[in-house]
Amino acid sequence: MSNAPLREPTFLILTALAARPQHGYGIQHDVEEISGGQVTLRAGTLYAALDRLRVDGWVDVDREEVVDGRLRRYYRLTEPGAARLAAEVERLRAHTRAAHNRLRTRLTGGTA
Amino acid sequence: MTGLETSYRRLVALYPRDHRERHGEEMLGVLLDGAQRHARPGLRETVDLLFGAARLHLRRLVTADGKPTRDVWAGVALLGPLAMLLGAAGALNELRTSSLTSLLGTVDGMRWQWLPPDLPAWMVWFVVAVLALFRLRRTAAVGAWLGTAGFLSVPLIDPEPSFRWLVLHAGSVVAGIVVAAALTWSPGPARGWELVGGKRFTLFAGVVAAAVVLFAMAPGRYHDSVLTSIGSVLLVGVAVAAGGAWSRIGYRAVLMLGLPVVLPVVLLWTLRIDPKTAVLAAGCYGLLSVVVLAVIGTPRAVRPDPGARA
Repeated sequence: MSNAPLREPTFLILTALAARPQHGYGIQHDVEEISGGQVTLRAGTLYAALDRLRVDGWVDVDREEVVDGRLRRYYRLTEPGAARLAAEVERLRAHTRAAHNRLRTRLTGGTA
Repeated sequence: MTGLETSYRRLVALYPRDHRERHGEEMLGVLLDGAQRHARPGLRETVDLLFGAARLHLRRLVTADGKPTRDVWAGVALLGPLAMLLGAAGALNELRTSSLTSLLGTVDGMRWQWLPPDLPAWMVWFVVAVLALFRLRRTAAVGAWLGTAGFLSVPLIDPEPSFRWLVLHAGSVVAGIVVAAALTWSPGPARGWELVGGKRFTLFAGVVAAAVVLFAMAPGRYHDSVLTSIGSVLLVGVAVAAGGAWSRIGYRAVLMLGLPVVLPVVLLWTLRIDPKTAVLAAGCYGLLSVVVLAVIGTPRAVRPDPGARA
């Protein structure tokens, strides 16, 4: 499994699927909500990312529904996907902790 | 169907076929859900869809979508030796345009000096094509490496030693290495035959033969004829369609063979760089190597298709 940092859209898609399966439009909404409105995931970007995530085995199809004559496919996070997201969260947490500590040192006038 | 849906369908139609079949209707649903009251797709959305389509095409092209490359190599092992013979047209043309006096009237008995220096290498490649057709993979592989070595030895055989030949024929050399590697390490022409099929192979062979004849019989020097150039482009187009249209694997196989041959021609004809310079030679080979590696893709484990478990 690659340990390279996840790109933001990938991270947000995996996060959107972490709690429950979602369909494409739901993922778009969730990503916007998670990012505080800063990231708008358009369909082209979303499906290019889902295509890759499926190949990597991090995301899988959960079920399909037809709503108002339109196909809705729900995606879920797989176990390897969840593990990769957890690893990324841990990596970001370590970086955040280090940044926080150094800023605190700076504010209290200590030496690095 | 509204105008908006029609516009979206046109954009989704630009995606790779397998992606359209799996996600086309689903994408349309997402796009229409998000469109609200728009009458036409927005500029950003259009650019995003175009960029997404380009990414997926590129991903499939460089085999980054996890599909096995062994079948691509098998396709190259079958079609490659035949496609290599396209390069022989130049030598045949040279042979034809050489006067009979030149060939027969030498007083010192050195008739071979008037023959194109690369002719022996092309004869080896002809044998390789026949061996591949009979699915004798190992023997064909040995022949292919010999043929490639023959290319490299042309500057030594030439009565006027020059490395210009290697620069001008960089595509043939690189394609030779690709084909030799395919014959050596792939499942071979037998698997290629299963993938391509007899009818398509026959069509491909016919187009290659027609192209060789067209080049060889062209008036004057073959590369000076505009008519020949147009004809060859058309023939290569048909060859790509015949050899590669059956699947994404075939498309990759033909692209793998075609790019090394096409790129040096484009470089030399359009940029009009002096081919004698070592910089160009390094550039040609470097670029070709990168392209070939990109098309083939680096070796990687084949991941299980998550869809298969669903």
